[in-house]
Amino acid sequence: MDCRETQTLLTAFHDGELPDADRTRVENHLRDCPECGRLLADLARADEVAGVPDPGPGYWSRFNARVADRIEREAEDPGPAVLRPKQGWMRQQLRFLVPAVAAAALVVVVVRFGGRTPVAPTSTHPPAGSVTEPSALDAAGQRTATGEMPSPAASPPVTVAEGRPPKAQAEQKKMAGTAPPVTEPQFAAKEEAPSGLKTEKDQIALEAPPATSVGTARAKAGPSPLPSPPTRAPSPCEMARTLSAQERLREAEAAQRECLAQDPAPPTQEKGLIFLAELLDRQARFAEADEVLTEVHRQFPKSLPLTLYRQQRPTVQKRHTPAPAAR
Amino acid sequence: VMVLRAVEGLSYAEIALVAGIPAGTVMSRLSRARKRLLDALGTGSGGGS
Repeated sequence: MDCRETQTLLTAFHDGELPDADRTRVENHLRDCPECGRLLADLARADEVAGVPDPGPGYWSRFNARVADRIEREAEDPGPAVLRPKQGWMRQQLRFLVPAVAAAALVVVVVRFGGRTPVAPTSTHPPAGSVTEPSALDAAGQRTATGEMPSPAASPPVTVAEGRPPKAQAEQKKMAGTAPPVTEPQFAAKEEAPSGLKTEKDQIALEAPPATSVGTARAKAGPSPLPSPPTRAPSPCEMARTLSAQERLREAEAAQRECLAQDPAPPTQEKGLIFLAELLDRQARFAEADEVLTEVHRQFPKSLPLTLYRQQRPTVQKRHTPAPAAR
Repeated sequence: VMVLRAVEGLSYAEIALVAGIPAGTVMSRLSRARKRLLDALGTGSGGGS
């Protein structure tokens, strides 16, 4: 095998998508060819930069809390400014790249989950908000100057067991896209699990435009650095997403049923029922999922989310056939 | 394609399904996307240019 052929296959090799025979041949070539080896390393680096591998539900469920927390810390200790980006070249690149990748991701998400809201192209260029940027960098696994770590209560990033992102996150991205850039923290708040934050102060700080949020937080920051208890319980719909992301499928299913019972609006029903079917599939209760999907089809014969879910359903089922992860 | 792969973690087959393109195209686009990304960042080892 020569370099040319190797390089054609290198991407697939890197992604573990090559059949064994080709894989062995590429490996053999790589042993003797430092040039191709370098290219392979480049691929990994490209993923690293673009990838921002999904940090998992643990990350997203605490996302809002961490942003608020950091704003508060900033307000109290105007020491080394996490929110003041260094003007390094690499950072500038990332500042463009991260929103771009995020925007692309949400286009994909909207397409996949059948959102009807056309995404305006303006959303691809949110001002690289001083609030969002460092968080995005965190997602990339890079620590900022003050070494911001997930806040104390944050669970360790959990790898999503499935190939697709937790729906909660998908929703969040979608929302973030329709009215950037302030919306993300707002909606992230909705994902907040029971342990959440949500003082009014935080809410205000988060709703302020990124450029001014520090100032706002500073002006409003009270003496207590600790967020007070949550002011409202999450709705069943939100609970279902959160529980699903935590793989607590039975509880998620119950919450989702409650969610469906509460909100008869067609969009909720359409996507909600599909989500319910997915939860059932993930518990290997395929027959029940079948019934739910049939019901969706009856109510929404042309449902795009339904079509998409049916396409990926075999994968979901296969993944959950041997041992349902219920508990 | 890059996003589906690197961010969403889909397999080539899944990407092909979602994007409605053949798996071979997934591979070539992915390859091109990574190359461009590295070029844009100037962090590639030079093989990509």
